[in-house]
Amino acid sequence: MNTQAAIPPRWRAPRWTVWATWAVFLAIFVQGVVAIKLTPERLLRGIGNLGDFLARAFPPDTGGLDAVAWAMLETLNIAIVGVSVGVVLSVPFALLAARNTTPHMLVRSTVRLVIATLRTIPDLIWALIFVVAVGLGPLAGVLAIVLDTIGFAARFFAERIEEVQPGPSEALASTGAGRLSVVMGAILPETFASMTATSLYSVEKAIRSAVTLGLVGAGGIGVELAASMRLFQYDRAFMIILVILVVVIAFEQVSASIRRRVI
Amino acid sequence: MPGLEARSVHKRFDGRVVLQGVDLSVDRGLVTILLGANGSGKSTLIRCLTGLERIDAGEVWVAGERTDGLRGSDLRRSRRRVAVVFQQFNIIGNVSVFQNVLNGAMGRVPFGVLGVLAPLAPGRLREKAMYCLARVGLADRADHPARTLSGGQQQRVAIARALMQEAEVVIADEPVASLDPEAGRAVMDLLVTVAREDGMAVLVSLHQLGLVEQYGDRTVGLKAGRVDFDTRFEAVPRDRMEALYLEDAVAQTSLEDSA
Repeated sequence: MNTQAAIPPRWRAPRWTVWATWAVFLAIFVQGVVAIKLTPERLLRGIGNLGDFLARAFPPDTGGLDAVAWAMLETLNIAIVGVSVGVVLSVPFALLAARNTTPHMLVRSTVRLVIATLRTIPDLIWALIFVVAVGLGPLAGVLAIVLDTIGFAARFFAERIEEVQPGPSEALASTGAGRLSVVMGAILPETFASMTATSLYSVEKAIRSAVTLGLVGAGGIGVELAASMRLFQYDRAFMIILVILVVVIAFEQVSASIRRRVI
Repeated sequence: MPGLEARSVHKRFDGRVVLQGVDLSVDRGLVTILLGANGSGKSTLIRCLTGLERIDAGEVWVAGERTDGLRGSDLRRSRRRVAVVFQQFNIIGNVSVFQNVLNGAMGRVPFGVLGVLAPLAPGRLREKAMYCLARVGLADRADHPARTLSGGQQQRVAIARALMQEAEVVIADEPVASLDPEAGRAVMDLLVTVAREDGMAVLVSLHQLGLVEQYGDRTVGLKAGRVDFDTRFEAVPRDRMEALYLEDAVAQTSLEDSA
């Protein structure tokens, strides 16, 4: 065995570009810490304030529970209506964006660009825009969730559609079926389970964002939370946070059990 | 008039000649078996005959009508007359066996898929689908999700789908290659029945020489993109068939030389 290669060394000096990249990263990090004024004293003071907040938040104020419950229901409505509309619109978007179902590559790249744009702009910004367009309230929240859902779900639907085996579609095409029939007869059944899982996750995601959308006035429980914080009603704020927690965890359980049944 | 006919079919892929003047005719009521090693052009010929692949030169005729070069709705109408059975079955796993059979009618009913969805399909189609399933011996599985069936059963569902299509020609591309011998024979028996009882022109590509003597009314051997032998109602000498496979490497080389 005269061709035996040497054992690789334990340590190899990194290239200078690696050193440089680390140096730049470190410089940015230190600059950030300084600019934010991240000091131990401030952190300690923050912990003190946090203790003050908790002291005033306990016990949670159960007084206005019915108002909070209605606001929570509004948040759920925003999430479910927004996601439902968003998912239904995502299917045609995904079919146009998937390589194997798009009518033309130009259509594909255009639609993919639209989806990417919807995804890149945060839902909070969509909500701010729609509050201007349709006024304060849940409608602005619903519209923001619709766009956010398309940006997320259409992308995953398209990726799943591209993974579909060509065989079943070919079999339906060979019966003389048209393109739309092939898509509905072969591709949608094959991708249904995965699309359902994505849609359920979209609802979970939307409930969380619908809470924060309220902070900018797009309806729901976030409006209540923002008001309580501003009025220093920490006990009420704490109760609102608990309600949100319970609802989010409960929906995650429901969603997990549906997912188990579908897949 | 044969059910399916290829006249001097040529096909090349990226400059590589795969079919160089194939003549083939598939008679109604008979089973024609197509033999050939990997690389002989067998699968390409099958795809050209089914209309899933376009040919470069030559003609393809289905029941007296020329079908090569068709596009759009004319192509779809001609595909309707040729049912295809695939090696990998290509049935839709997530829907019922019954729905898979109904799908066979997708090309010939108004509204395509909407016309064959199990809850919407007219009673006439639903009865016909049940009859097709009964013919392949799977009527009791109608309501099962198709993916829960064994490979042999899935291929029989694919044959029921082909019957549902009311085609004049059935092309089966290595229909038994993924099946055990027992399930393979059941599938071959069904294809013979389809030829005899429905008068369809049946073309089956195979690798199993043992099945040829039992099932082939006509046997065509393909080598290096050309017809090597074509015999009707007579046994093909075993060594002649084996030669198709033994000279595989040699054939490949000469094919590349001529390209």
